[in-house]
Amino acid sequence: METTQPDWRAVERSPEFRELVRRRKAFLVPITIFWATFFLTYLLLSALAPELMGERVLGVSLGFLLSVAQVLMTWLVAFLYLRRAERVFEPLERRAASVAAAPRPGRFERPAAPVPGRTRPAR
Amino acid sequence: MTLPIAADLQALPLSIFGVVLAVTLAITYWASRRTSDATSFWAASRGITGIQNGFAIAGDYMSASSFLGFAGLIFLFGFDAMVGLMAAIVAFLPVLLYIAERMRNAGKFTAVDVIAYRLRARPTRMVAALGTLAVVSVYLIAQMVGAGVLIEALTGLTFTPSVILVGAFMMIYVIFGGMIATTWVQIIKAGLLMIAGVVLAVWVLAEFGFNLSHLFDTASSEHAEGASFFEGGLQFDSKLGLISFGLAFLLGTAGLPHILMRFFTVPNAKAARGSVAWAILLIGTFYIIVMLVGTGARAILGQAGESAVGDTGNLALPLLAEELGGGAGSAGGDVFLAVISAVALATILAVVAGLVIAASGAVAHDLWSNVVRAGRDSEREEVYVAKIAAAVMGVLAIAVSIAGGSGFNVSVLVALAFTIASSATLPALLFALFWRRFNTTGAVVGMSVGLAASLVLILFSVPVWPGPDSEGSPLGSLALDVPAIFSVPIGFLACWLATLASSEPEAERRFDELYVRSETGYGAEAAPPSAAEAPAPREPVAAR
Repeated sequence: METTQPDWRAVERSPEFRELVRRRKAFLVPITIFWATFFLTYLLLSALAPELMGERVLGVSLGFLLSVAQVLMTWLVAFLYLRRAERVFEPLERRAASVAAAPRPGRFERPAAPVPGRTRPAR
Repeated sequence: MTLPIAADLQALPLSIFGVVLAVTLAITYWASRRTSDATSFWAASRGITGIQNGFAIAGDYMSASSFLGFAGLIFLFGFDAMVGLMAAIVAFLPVLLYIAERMRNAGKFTAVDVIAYRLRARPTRMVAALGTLAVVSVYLIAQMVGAGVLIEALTGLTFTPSVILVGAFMMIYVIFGGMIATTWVQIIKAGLLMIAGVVLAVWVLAEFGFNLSHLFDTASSEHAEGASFFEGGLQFDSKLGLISFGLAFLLGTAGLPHILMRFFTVPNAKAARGSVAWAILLIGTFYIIVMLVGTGARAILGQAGESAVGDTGNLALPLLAEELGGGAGSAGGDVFLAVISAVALATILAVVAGLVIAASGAVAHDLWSNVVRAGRDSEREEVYVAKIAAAVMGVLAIAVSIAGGSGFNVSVLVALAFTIASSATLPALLFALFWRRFNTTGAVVGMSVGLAASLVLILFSVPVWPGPDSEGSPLGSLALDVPAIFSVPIGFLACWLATLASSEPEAERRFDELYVRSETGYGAEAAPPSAAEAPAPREPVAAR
């Protein structure tokens, strides 16, 4: 357990953290556009094109089919996110967290003056 | 009225109710022995697994309004109600993608922990906790009134004792068993609900020879509007009404305090996202079932059933169960009706318990501990205050529900809860997590304006001003059932403008800390945020 707070600003600017944020954003932005468009199209069609939603397809109404498609889409996005989080984000999170866990003042800096009242463990 | 305790008591549903209540009491006893400190009381000692929490989220989220309400609305109005249900499941994507893990990483017991993390604790927590209390108390009264009406219809026990019964059990779970009891009541309820749903759906499909086309044909021919049943447009006066209804569910879910609180009960962010995935699987399955069963209710009960199910349609499902079991008076019909009624009771109990524990978190953790006592109280005191708060909240909810009686319009209350959650809580939560510039002024003004806009717009809404074109409502034809489409932009805009109009370098500086912690999970358990907020850490630091 750490007794002092990490240098949050330095961690936030570390390449490890930047990469985590960048990779996550690269996944979240497109997937957000996808699910939001998919749902809003359905919502707008439901409001604006009722006859279309009442159209019978495969014995049931198109509106019902598109509703089931919303559930399937939700499952798909959740599955994709979970897989990506497991494979990509989790290792990146651990790397970025290890930067925060590294003893201050951080890896890049010159040896700083010792913190008063505290001896840093030798590394 | 001479206050009869019971008009026409039904022995069978009452005895199955008794079994449900006995099981939940046993759970509460077991849980009470594991509940001592604040972490066990609010966060079940962070020992709930992902799959358990998935069931519990489903149990927390799917209220009687999902189970009975939406099935009834589909029975009455057809497609429009299906759209509302789908909004309520897609709503878990924002929770999964942006909120669940970050909440677990950076918070301690309540969503307000995350909103207030880098802002000035006192003003932020005060307003945010008021927002929580507004959502929770409105939603709680909606559930209690719904419960009273339902139990009266199903068992013959009248409204007042029914409300007291539900209120008393909800207080017992929370006060003695805390989050552990609440969680397991929710898990069991979700299991019962899924089983009941699958049985109902399969039975309905079997009635139509597993031929969906036959089911859909019968349903539309059994509705006065015929084909319009599957086209929509029957539930709302305007197209905007349907869109706004969908948006309220889509965005409100991510601001519901009792749902967000569930993410603190799991050990880490991985379990948090896993639990949302499980919840999505369960709720999605259940909502497909509700669509089929609601359509089945229309096909089987038909126009003849409309007077029996009532204006809200709440009794469509129980009546369908009775009909499937062999009809009123038959043994099969009685048993199936009683079982469905018991599931409905378990459903209500699980949701109200979740709401009360969220309210106790807002009062004891956010208001008492962090605003009044500024973090100087002990955990014991926090839990003690939480239990008092749960008791007061429970008694108030019972009193208001009885005073308002069955005349309370439940759908207005639910609409109000989702509108406040989406317009006051959600903007502040998202800005706090993702926008460095966001500050205390933005949060306080934004949440207050979001809350006020929700309240005012609900006062002008269609159910409050019934009649053609909502005559009398100052908004005229722009009055909606659920005004989220106006109030959500107002909430976001107020947060944004008030932030830009002020400056708080400290909040921007401390964004680094929140950002790193919420994204990486660093220090998620070892460093509770209250230690960072308050000058004196509550837990003694081991090494010095």
